Amino acid sequence: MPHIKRYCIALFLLLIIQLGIKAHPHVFIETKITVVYSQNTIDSLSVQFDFDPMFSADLIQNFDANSSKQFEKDEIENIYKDAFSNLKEYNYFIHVVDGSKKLTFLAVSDFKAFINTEGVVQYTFTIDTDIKTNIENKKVKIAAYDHTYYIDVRFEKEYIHFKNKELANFDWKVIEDKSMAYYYEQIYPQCAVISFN
Amino acid sequence: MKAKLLLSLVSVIVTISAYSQNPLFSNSSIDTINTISEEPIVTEKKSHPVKRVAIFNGLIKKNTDIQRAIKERLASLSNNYKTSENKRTIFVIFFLAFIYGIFHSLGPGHGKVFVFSYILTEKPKVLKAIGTSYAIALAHGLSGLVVALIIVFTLNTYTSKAAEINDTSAIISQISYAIIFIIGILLLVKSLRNKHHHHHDKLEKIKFIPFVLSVGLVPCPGTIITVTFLSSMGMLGVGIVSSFFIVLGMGITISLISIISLFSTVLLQRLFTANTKSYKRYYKGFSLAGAALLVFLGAMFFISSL
Repeated sequence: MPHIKRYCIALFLLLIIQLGIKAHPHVFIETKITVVYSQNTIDSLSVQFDFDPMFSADLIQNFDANSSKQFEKDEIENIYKDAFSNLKEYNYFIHVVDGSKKLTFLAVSDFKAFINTEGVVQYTFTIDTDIKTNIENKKVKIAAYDHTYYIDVRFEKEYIHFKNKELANFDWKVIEDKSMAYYYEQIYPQCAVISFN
Repeated sequence: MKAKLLLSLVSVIVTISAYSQNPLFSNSSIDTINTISEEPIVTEKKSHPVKRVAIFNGLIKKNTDIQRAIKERLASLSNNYKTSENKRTIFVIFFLAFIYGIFHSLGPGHGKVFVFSYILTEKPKVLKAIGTSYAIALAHGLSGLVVALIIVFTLNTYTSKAAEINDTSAIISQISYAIIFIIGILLLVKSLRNKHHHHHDKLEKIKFIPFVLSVGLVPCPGTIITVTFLSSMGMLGVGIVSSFFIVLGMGITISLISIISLFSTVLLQRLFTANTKSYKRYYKGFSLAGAALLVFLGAMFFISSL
């Protein structure tokens, strides 16, 4: 038994060491998602990304060519091309599960980029979803994360918002969703679960 | 001793991760902003029969919270320094860079798993283990600083070069995996020779410098972003010195891993030598399997990175 105890202690120490492998991100995003609802349908998600101040400063220096402290139309096009469009490969960091179905987004629309008064770069865009909600006990899950964990994506403090919510009868809550575990399945993302009555 | 190598390599399988690249950037990007809406593709979500337990979920998020807070504070202090030029602010920046190094190196790509394997294989003294840890931290941090300075002196920004950095980092990762593969081959040969020649093996020690370089070769993105940011604030000198404080912090974390590795090595050695029959039974098998595993992992990651 003493040997097994030592073995367990040794394995525990090895396990502790693996702690060091996990926390990765180099860029931080706070996201605000608005669920846009119409009759019996979640039409789209209106998404806003707020970047951390360090990365924002770099984006501004790179893309605000005329140093106007605002992104002009051509500058926004450059941002879209060089610092956004690749997110298609990452589902734009937005993960939606409609019942048992997973949604893969092919494109977004209405992309814009801003610099707010605190010097933070914000992206806004719209994702079409077309999710029917007139099904009994329908559940829709919405999470935001980068599965590579190069970027840490979090909900902002109120998690998600709703537009036209008076048209729907639903409850919602935020959980840490184990079924969406990512990054070597070591991180549970925050997930808004909307239950339609 | 070879059993320890196998156990360390098991941890390599479980925890090794390829160097990640910023998802925002790619050299093959779309030209124009999309104005046409597109329906999403709907697929059945795969269910996982094995129950998963992310035991480090809370700690990972806590660590990320700390890094996020440090970066925000660093940005805020830099802005303050631009207006006030208070010298004390610089020392706070250095201190935060040091703390950032400690917590940031709890992430992958900082050589901890390989340090662990190296220590379990070579079983150095404590001071040498700490020295190895700091050598890796220095290589990692310096390579990040070099990349940052290249960006700064070509009058570019991190984001303007991010796609190229992604591509370069991918190449560096491939080189790292190739070196790891070679080190695995050396270990394998060493294990085979040790079967018959216990005392006169020329491959007594893994070469220190190639090992340190292979582990620390990939530039640290955290260092790159910090230095380029401070440079953009007109504080390049502060950025360069901060990178060394980040290295100091990283060295502490990696050294801690080294010391824990040494401690667990002692425990395991006592376990196996306590029962000589078990030790003899598993010794030969573990030594070969452990080395073969490193060869396999190096090859696998190299091929998958192509």
